[in-house]
Amino acid sequence: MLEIKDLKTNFNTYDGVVKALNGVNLTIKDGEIFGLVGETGSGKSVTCYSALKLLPKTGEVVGGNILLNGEDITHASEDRLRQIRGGEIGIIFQDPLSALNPVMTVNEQIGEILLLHQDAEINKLASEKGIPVYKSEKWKASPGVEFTIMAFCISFISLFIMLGQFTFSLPFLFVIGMMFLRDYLQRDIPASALDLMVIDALSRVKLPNPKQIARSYPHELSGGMQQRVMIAMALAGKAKMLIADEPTTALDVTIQAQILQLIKDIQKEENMAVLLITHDLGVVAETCEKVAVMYKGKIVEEASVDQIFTNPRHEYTRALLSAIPKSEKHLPNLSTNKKSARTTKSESSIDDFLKVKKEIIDE
Amino acid sequence: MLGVTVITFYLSYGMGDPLAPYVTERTTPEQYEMLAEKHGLNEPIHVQYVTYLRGVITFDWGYSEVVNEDVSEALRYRFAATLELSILAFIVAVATAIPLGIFSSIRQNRWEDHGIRLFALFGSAIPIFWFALFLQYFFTLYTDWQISLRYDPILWEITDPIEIKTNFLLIDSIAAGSWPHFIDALKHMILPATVLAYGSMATIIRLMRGNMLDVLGQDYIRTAKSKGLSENQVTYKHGAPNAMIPTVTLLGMGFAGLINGSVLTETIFTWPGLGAWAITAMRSLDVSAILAYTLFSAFLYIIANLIVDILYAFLDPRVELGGHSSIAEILVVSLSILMLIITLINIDAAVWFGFLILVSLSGLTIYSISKRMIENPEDAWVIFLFAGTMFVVWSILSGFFMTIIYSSLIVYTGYLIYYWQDVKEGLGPKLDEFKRSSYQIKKNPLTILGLILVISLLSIALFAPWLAPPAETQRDPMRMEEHFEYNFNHQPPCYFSCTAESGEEDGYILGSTDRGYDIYYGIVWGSRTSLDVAVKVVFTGTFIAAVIGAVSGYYGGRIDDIVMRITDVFIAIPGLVLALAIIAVTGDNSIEMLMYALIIVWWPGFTRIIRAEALRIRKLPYIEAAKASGASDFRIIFQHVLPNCITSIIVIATMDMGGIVLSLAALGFLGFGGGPDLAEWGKLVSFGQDDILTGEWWGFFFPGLAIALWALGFYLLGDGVRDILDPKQRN
Repeated sequence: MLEIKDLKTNFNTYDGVVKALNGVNLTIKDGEIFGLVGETGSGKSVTCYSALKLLPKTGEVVGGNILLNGEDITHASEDRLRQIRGGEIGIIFQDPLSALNPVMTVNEQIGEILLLHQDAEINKLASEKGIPVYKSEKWKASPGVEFTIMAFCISFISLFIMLGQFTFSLPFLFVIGMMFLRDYLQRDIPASALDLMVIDALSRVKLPNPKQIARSYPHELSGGMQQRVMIAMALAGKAKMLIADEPTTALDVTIQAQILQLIKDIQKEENMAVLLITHDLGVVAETCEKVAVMYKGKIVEEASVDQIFTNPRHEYTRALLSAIPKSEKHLPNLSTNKKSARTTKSESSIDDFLKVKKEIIDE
Repeated sequence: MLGVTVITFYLSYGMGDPLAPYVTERTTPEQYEMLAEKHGLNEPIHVQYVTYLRGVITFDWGYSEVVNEDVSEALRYRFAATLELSILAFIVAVATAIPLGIFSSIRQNRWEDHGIRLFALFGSAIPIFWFALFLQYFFTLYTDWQISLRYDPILWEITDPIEIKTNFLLIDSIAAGSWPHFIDALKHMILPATVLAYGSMATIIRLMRGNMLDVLGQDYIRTAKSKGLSENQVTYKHGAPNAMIPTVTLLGMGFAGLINGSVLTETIFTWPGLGAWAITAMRSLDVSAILAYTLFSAFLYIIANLIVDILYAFLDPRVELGGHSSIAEILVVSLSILMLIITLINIDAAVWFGFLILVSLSGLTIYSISKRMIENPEDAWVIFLFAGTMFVVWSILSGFFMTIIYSSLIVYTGYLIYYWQDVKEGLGPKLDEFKRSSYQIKKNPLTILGLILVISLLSIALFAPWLAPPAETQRDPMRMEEHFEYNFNHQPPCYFSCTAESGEEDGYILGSTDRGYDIYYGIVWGSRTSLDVAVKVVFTGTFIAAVIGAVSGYYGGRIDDIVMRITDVFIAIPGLVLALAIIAVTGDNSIEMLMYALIIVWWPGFTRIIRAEALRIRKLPYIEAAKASGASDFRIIFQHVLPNCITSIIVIATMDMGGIVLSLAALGFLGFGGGPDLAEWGKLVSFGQDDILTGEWWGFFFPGLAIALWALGFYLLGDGVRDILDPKQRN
C-alpha cells in the first residue's frame, strides 16, 4: 500500500538545519494495522506529514521516495496530492477539538470531503432516490449572513417608505417574503443526498443520533464524539488507508479503548491499511499486527508485535519496554509496601532507559 | 483568555447599559462649567445636573450660539452628512482591507506582504490632515475637481433643485431619479471618504493579517488540507471566517476612529457635518454644542458596539448572547433607568433619589473595601500602591521626574560597579539573547528603517541648539516669533543654497509661513515639543495603566468590574473628541493642559490591554505554583504578573510614542495647545494650510513629513520589537 524509502526531512530553524528524519524506511501492506512507536520528538508524526506533504512551511523533504500502490508520489503535483489526501489516505489527529473547524457544523465539514471525493456517489444516490444533491439552505446555515440581509432589507424598506417612494421598497419586500416563504416551501423536501451520505458516515462510526450530531458544532460534542466525527470524516472519502496520529492521547482511558476498538472494527470491515502512530506501547500491543520503533529520525527495529514484546533485538527497544511501569502482583497486599515497590521499580527502569539512551547517543 | 475578556466586556454592553451611568460620571464637572458660565452658579450642583439630565432625555440639548439655532436641530441635519460620509468610508475601508489582509498573510514575509504592511503602516502613521491637504493641493491645482462642500451649489440650488428629504444626498438623488445629482454628490464625497477610509483601513489590514496568521497555524487548517481541499479553499472557507471573528469585535473601535477622523477631514474639506460644526463650536467655546457633540459621539459609539456585539454572536457559534449579568450590574442599570424616569416627573424628587443612590452605593463600596481590609490586613498595600502611583504621576508632570531618572541612573551605575562579578555572570545569557535579537533585526529591514528614523529624530531633538541656533535676542527658543529680527512671509525653501551672507530674507532653508516663521527652525525645535509630550504622556499613562491594570486583572471580581466600567466611560468617547472637549471646556489652551487631556484619553486603553494580559496570566499554572508556595499577592503581581506583561507594555508604549504625537499634531492643527507661535508640527501644518491655493506647498509639506516620519519610525520599531520579543516567532 504505502512504501517509504530512505525518507529525509529537514526543518530550517534559527539555530540551523534540524534533521528530523534521517532515512526512514517503512512498508505498510494492504489491510494491516501498523504501529509506529517512539518517544516524543523521534519523528513519528513528521514521517506521516512528510508522506502527505502536510509539513509546516519551515519543513522540507530533502531525500527519499514515497510510493503509494507503486506510484511514486514524492514529486507529485499539488492536484494529485489533493486527490490522495482524503481520497486515498485519510488522516486523524491528536486533539479532535482543535482539529475540527469551530465555526462549521459537522454536516458542512463532512459534506465538504464527500463533495471532493465522492461526487459520483452522491449524484448516483440523488438520481436513484429522486432527491436533490444538496439542499439550497447554504446561506441559512450561517445566520450572520441571513441577519445582515434581513437588516439591510428592513432598513431600505423603512427608508423608502419614509421618502414616500414605496415602489422602490418592493424588491426588498420580495426578498424578505421569500426568506419567510422558504422555510414553508422547504418543509416537506426530503433530506438531500449529501445529508444522507453524511448521516451514513456518522452512523458508520457508531455515533448515536447521527441526525442531531450532523447539525451541531464541534464544541457541542464530547471528546469521544469529536474523535468519532474525525474518524467519520477521514473515512468519508472512501480512503484505502488511515493514518491515525496519536488518536487517543487527548482522551480518557475508557474512551481510548472505545476509539481503538472502533478503528479495529472499521479496519476489519473495510480491509483498510492503518498506520497507528503512538507513544503508548499498550495501545500497540492491543491493536497492531506489525510495529516499527523510531528513534532520532530512524527506524531502529521493525517486527511483528509478538516478536517486539517477547524478543526485542535492538537495545533501544529493550530499554523502551523496560521503561513501562509494571504492577507487581506477587507482592503482599499492603499498600505502603506496594507503593514503594512500584516506585522503585519504575524509577529504576526509567534510569535504565535513560542510561541506554545515553549510550546510543554516544555511539 | 483574551477572547473571553473581550466577550464579557462586549456582552456587558449587549445587555444594554444605558447612557445614564456614563452621563453621571462624566458630565458632572463639565456641567458645572457650563452652568457656571450661563447661570452663575445660583443653584446647587446636583440640582443643575438633574435638570441637565432631563434636558438630555427630552432632546432639549441647549442652544448653540455658533449656528444660532437649537443644538438638537443642528445635530439632526448635520448628523446625516457625517453619517453618509462615515458609512461610505467604512464600506470602502472594510471592503478593501479584509482581502488585502488575507492576501498579505498568505504571502507572509514575501515582497507582497512587506508592501501591504508598509502601505498599512503608512495609513496609520500619516497624519490624516496632512493626507487631506495633499489631496486638496493636487486636486485644486491640477484638476477642476470640486473638493469642498457636499454638492455643487449651482446645480443643486439654482439650475435644478431637487427635494432634500433625508439629507443623505446619495439617497435623495436616487429618490428624485436624477443621475447628474447622484454623480455630483458622489464626486464630492470621494476625496473625504478616501482620506477617512485610509486610516481605518490600515488598522483593519494589520488586524486581519495578524488574525489570519494565527488561524492558519491552527490544527483545523491542517485537517482541511488533509481532506484534499485546495490552498484557496482552505484559506477562504476555513481560514477567513475564523479570522473574521476577532476582527469584527474591533470594527466598533474602527468606527470610533472614523468619528475621530471626521473631525479633521470635515474641517479641511469644509464638509458641513458634525465634526466641522464641533470644531467651530470649540473654537468659540460654545459649551452646549461641545457637550452635545461629545455625548452624541459616545452614544454613536455605544450603538456601533451593540451592533458589533450582535454580529459577533452570529459569526461565532460558541458565543451566546445574554450571559454574564451579575446582580450588581442589573441593580445599577435598573436604578439608573428609574432615575431617568423620576427625572422626567419631578426634578426635586430625582435629586433626592439620586443622592440616596449615590450615598448608599458609595457606602456599600467603602463597606466592602474596609471589610476586605480587615479580613486580610496584608492587602492594605494596594491603597499605598495607588498613593504611590499618584505620587509618581505627579512627579512626572511637575518636572521632578527628570531628577528621579538621573538619580536612579547614578544609583544603578553604582550598583553595577559594586556587584560587577554577579552582573558579569548574568551577562552571558543576556548577550546570547542580544545576539538573537540583532539577528532578528537584521532579518527584518523594516525594523532597521524604524530604528534609523527614531534615532535620527531623537538626535534632532537632542542637537536642536546646534542644528538651528536660536537668535541672540530670543528669550524662549520654543517661540518662533522672535527667531528672526525681521520676518519675511511666504519665502520659498532655498534648501542648502542659502548662505549666511545672502541675508535673512534668503535664510529660510525650508521656506517660511505667512507670519514669516522659519519652517526649518520650527521643525527642529518642534521635535522637542513632540518628544516632551510623548514621553510624559506615555510614561504617565503606562504607569497608571500598569498598576491599575495589573491589580484589576489579578484580583478580578468586583474591583475589576468597577475599574472596567470606569474605563468604559472614557473609551466610549472618541479620543480626539474627548481631548478637544476637555481643552475647550476648561478654556486653558496651554501645552500642559493638552498633556493632561492626552493622558486622560490614553490611560484607559493601556489599562484595558494590561488588565487583559493580567487576567490571562493569573490563570497560568506558574501563578498557581507561586500561590501554593506562599507568595504574597504583592510579590505575585510584581514578580510574576507584571514582568510577563512587559512585552506588550513595551510594544504598546513604543507604538503610542508615535500615536500620541499624531494626536498632539491633530490638536495643534486645529489650533489647540500652546501659544500661537510655539514650535509645534501640527501648528506649522495649519499655518501652511491657507497657502495651498496659491501653490505654496512647503508650508504644509515639511512639518507634516516630520510628523509622518516620527509616527512611522515608532510604529515600525514597535512592530519589530513585537516580532523580536514574541518567542513564537522564532522558528
